[in-house]
Amino acid sequence: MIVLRFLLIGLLIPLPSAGQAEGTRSVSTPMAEIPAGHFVAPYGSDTLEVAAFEIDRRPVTVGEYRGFVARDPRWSTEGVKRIFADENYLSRRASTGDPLLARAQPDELLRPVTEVSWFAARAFCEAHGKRLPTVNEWEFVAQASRERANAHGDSGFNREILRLYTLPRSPELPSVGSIFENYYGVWDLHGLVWEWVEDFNSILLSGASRVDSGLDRQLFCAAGSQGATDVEDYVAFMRYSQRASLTASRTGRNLGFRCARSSLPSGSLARAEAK
Amino acid sequence: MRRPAVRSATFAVQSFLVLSLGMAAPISAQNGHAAHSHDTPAGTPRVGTPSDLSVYNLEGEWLDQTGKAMPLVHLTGRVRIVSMVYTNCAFACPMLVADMKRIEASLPKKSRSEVGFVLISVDPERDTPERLLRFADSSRLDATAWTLLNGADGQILEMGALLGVKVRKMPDGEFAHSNVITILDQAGEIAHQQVGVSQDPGESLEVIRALLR
Amino acid sequence: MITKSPTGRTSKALAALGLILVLVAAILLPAKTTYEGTIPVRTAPEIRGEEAATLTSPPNVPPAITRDYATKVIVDLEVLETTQRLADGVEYTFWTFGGGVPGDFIRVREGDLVEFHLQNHESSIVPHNIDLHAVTGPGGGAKASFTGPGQETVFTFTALNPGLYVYHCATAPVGMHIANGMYGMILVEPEEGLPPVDHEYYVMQSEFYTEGSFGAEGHQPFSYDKALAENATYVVFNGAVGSLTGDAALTANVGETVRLFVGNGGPNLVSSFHVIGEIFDNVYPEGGSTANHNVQTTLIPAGGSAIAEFRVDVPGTYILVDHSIFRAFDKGALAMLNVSGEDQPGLFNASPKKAVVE
Repeated sequence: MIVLRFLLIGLLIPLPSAGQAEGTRSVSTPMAEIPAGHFVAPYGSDTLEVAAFEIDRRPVTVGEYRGFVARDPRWSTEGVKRIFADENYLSRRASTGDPLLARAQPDELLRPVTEVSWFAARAFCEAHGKRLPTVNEWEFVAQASRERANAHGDSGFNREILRLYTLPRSPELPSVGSIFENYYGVWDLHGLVWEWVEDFNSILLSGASRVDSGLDRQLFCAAGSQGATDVEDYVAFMRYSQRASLTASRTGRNLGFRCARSSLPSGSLARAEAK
Repeated sequence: MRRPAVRSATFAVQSFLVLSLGMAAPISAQNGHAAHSHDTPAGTPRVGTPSDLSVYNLEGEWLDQTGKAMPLVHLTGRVRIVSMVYTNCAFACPMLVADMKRIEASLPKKSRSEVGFVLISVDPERDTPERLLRFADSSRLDATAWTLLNGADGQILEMGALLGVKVRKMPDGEFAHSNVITILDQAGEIAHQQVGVSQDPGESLEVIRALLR
Repeated sequence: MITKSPTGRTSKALAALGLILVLVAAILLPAKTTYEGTIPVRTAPEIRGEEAATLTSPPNVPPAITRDYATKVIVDLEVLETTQRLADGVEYTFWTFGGGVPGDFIRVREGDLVEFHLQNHESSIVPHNIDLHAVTGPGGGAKASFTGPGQETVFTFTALNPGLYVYHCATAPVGMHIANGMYGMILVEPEEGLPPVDHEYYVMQSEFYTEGSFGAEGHQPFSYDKALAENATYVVFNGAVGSLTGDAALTANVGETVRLFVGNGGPNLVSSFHVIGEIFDNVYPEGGSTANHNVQTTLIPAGGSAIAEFRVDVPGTYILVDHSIFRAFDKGALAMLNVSGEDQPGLFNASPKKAVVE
């Protein structure tokens, strides 16, 4: 039975993408290796470093999260403590009108899971030997276009991102694997769901050891910000302002997550994990 | 109907891709988690089970300044005044502690045994229990009222997230953090927050008085 | 002053008395400065009771305030991101206060304490906030009202100054939030109220910047480049081409008085507001407290307003325009006021040579 399942997994090969594709795209390897690097902070001129890490190729799906909740009733809607998830936790409905997690149709299982809090997302990642990505890791991967690792300054790409962010949303989210695969082989970073990061709570603290940094001033315009001088800043502001509005127990219709993991010193993806 | 629990995390992750094609059925495994036993009627807290909105629901091991294990749930029963600081902090943390001592001094003597003060270190590497004890001594913190806690990085991240305290380690090893004093009620639920340093404790004292009635 | 005798003691006593009198006068009498009377000192008055604000969608305006005391007004306003018609065949995803563009009209009285509840619908993709130009306070309320999707924030302010004020979202990137339709108006009536008129209407001009050109069909995304270049694709009244035309035109009858609360949400352009065939008997430029009279076209700054009052004397259709005329006829800045009633050939006669048939 186990052998059969691994055989079936091996048959799931990624299909070529052409920008935003319709329907389901199956992705075989769950995580992408991201080499160490640095990038210019989207909100200013700081240079930020990231160490090598791995990140899920696409957000966690309804089906995966359902399996997690089934194994750990602390994260069921009945069992969860209100301090860890608000009253909208997992409240999304399937097309049948039932709670999505319990009675999802097969195609619904491939949608990104939403209405999960930061605590819930962390618990899921931990249960799989992973963690949430940090904001710097996430931004580092997300700056890649299809062809380039660093599309900083590519105004055509940034205009596409802005368009993805502002498309009219239907209540039914598309399946994962529907928004282009970037240079690192990572899908769905722009325009599917916003994603939790591990350190969302401290992104407003600057590198200058001061509380309420310039980023904070820029997020609340009337406090005298300028600086959004091109569309790249625009899309960054949308992401950062969205993160600034979060609290850890909050859930959101357009808020999901994916997991990450620090790289082994050898950089090897292969891990034997027994729990 | 029970099914055996899945053993391998890798297997679990990869098999969901296959299971998502409709082969799975929801597994309702009872793993006997103490907090979810159905013996007691809904709404009756079991001994040692924090209430739904209590900060003490956080998991993880904490050590106090004597090096003793201090499960958060042991803080139940007293109103707790909490802040997140570190001992190598030059400016804001001493001011926060001073603000807390101001609150302590303003409490009537008969209330002192019903109120506790908690300092959670955001710098567990340097703020070992021994260092916390020295800090408590040099800051003249009454050991019967003040608890200083050392916990792992993940726990500090979660505590900060729960209390709305922003904490970030800077490249130079210092910590940037927002300055908040939180008042937890006897169950560990957030009753009030005093934001900033050198703040007038008037509102906080009113909240504490109301909780002690 | 007559000294009774030249003795030093008496004159010293008198000098001391004089000094004391001068000191007393200096303390008791207010110092006279050049600013006395020109910049009033405004303080919050005593608040009596509370009420829920009546909010209206454009072009309607809440009824005039009749109370003569300051009260606490509770305002509930929800932000909703919604895809709607911008022009025939053209859809746009608007970010709205209250479900439409411009946002709901708020009406309070000078001195009122406003308790402002801002909700952000759970389907919103981004957080929003509000900056009301009527607010004296940091950001006009922007930081206090920063609200994530599915959340609500509350803040209070005292409406210190009367006037007609714009409100708008101030979340970064601000230009985009405003360009997507996040503006509306709040009227702070002066203590003595406004003189009664027959009709009050709410009209707000603004621009939209779309990737496609004017009239290109389908869902049109926001064009950052055009917004930055201030190259408006659409310039409209009340959020869409034709929103105040045909069956949706404003109405009045011959002999009635009309007050237009006109705003300009921008984000970029200044309006040269004119009603073809009418003259404004009174204009309160920039929504302030001083009236101008007999005005044909008044300037409305981006993020500003004007109040225009006139009596309609002759039946017919009157066209509201931005007199930067290509905006009116080629980009949509055109609205209508239909005036019904009997012809007034003495005032206007389209065909004076024909006999008047009774």
